Amino acid sequence: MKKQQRPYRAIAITAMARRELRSTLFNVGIYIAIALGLCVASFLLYNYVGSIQENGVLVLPSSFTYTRYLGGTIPSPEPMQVPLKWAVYIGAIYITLSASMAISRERDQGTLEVLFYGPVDSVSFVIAKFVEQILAFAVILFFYVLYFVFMSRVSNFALSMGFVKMLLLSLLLAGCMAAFGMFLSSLSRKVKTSVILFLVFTIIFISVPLVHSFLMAIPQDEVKGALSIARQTTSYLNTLVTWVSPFAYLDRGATAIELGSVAEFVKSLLFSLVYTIILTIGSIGIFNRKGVRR
Amino acid sequence: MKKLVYLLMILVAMSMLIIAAPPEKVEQTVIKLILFDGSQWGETFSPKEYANFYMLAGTDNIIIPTKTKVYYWPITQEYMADYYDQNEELEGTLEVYHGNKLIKKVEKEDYSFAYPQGYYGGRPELRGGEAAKEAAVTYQKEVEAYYGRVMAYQEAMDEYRIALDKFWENPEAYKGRETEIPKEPSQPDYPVFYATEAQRGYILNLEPGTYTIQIEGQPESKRTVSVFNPRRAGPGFEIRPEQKWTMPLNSNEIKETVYISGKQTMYLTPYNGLEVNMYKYSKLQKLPSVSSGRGGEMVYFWMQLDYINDAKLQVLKDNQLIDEVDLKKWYVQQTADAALGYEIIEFNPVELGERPPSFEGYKVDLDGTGRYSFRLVDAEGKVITESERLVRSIGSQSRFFAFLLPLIPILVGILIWVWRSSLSASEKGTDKTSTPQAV
Repeated sequence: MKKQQRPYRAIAITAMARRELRSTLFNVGIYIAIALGLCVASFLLYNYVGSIQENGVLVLPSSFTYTRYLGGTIPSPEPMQVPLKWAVYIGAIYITLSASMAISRERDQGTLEVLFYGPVDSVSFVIAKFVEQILAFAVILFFYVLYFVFMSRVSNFALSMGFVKMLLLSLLLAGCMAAFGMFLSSLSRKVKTSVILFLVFTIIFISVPLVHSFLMAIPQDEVKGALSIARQTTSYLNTLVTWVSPFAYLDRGATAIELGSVAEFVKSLLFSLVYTIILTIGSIGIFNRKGVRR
Repeated sequence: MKKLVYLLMILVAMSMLIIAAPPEKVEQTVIKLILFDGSQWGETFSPKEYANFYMLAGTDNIIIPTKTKVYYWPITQEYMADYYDQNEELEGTLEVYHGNKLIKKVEKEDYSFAYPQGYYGGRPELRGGEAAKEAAVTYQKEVEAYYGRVMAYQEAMDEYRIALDKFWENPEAYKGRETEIPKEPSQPDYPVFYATEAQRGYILNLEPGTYTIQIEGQPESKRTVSVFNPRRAGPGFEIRPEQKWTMPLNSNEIKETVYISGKQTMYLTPYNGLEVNMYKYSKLQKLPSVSSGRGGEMVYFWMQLDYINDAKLQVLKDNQLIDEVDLKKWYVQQTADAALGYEIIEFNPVELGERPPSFEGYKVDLDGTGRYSFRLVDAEGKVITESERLVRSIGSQSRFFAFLLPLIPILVGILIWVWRSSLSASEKGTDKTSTPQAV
């Protein structure tokens, strides 16, 4: 019985993922996300070039290294890696938004129930949605790679193995983000709720490390009273975010690349995988509990 | 009315008392700490409220358990020790435990800090035991020799003045005998070597890890020591572009690339750098402060330590050595006309008199074509580890393409939207792609 179930699941996953990907590629949304990512990357590169032309010289990255977990979010050795990271963030946010609506939208519209009259179960449904997000992200990355290779040629900014490693990490980040989005989606019955949840968490995940790094950049002598407490509070929050936020898993890998540590790099890959698996299993569990009806 | 005035006077007097209230001092055993920060030794202390202190691994540090008066100073939010009020150093053997295992016993010994290249030049050295006393004696001898030179100078000056008076009595008499005209003696050289007086303390040097220390049989002196390594270390560079010499950029590690635009002249000043954990390093420098290192548990930063002044800089173009430069002193001179501007000239004490140099550095001229790199080599010509930096010249068209390229995905999206619209119109509004279907 089990032997027969596997091919059906695989077929269902392939068919659903292909159909969803086609739908995504025929929508303008993904291209707007890519363009936004490239705009941010261009803005950073534009600033780098402007700064070099104005000052004559620029050292990249900057010296202050802000760190999370055992390594840190370090501005990478090549100027291309920082714009890539932010472009990847935007692509990943799009993936999370898309994933956070994946289950709740189908449930909200009532199409989920119809879908489950066929040879589709919760596992194949959630995995198909997940695979579709990863493939969509691969398309986004494809555009990014073309952009960065071209810009590297034009600007003479270095591209090296670190860049390739960042791309690999980015795929895993997409995995984490998609799993996180699916998890949020499985929690809510309404699209509106899942979008709100997505927005709240994304703002927290991005703003906490930024606020912490901003506070930590203030010279020690000027840190007194409330500012000192704020530093400590954001430090605690940042530690929490480090484990919950999918973005943090990309940062860990980026740190490993920066430090040239293979062990840390492999560890960051493993952590990302574990995070993805746990949230995907969680999504399936919650999906089963909530059922397919509105 | 009078009552009100009296009341106000009492209130003012009381408020003055409050302001003048001294902090409460408590007698306790603290550990006076003289800790190495990577280039020099700084002093802090460990009261019982901060029983865990931090040290750099593999370095010599001074530990002095002392009974003193401790108070909390709310203005700077830190504990202070009043050594003037009480300063009783504990005697005995210092025990070092790793876990429950006693790994080391350290006896108190003499120590002093020696500055072989002078107090303001080069790194200090910690001298322990007999060497500490010798350093103090050497310094004393240097000072005595200096006084000897000063005395000789004074005598020479007196003789010079007498000879000068004699000369002015009849200068004409010295015609044809110019070599006999009295010359002013030169001032004596200051002593270079400096050493502090020998004092007594425990010199502690440990591997990374967490340890417990205490004076044998005196549990009030028990403390925990967290010994850490810097995450990375290596030479860094202050990079001064010629056109903005007051705004140097820092390059701390080998992976950093120096980007230039066109032809550039730069001045590079190398220094020793350490990448350290902000919390631990801040606590190493100032332990009993509430705000020191707060929130920096997961932050790493580069510390710029002392300058490297015994190396040469090699400049390479396309991996070929094209120049070897010496470290020189430079002086920034304002241009003579009314307009703003300056020029950087090599420092010449004869021409510039008592004016100090503006900075020291290696001058590097790059023409902006090809791939450059630079690195430091020691006196034997060996490349100093982690000192190499790549230099790349950026393309001038980058900004234009940075504007243009993000438009391409939007264009692709518009084309797809137009194509889909035409498809929908031809299929009378049927959309085959948006509604999920049962498989």
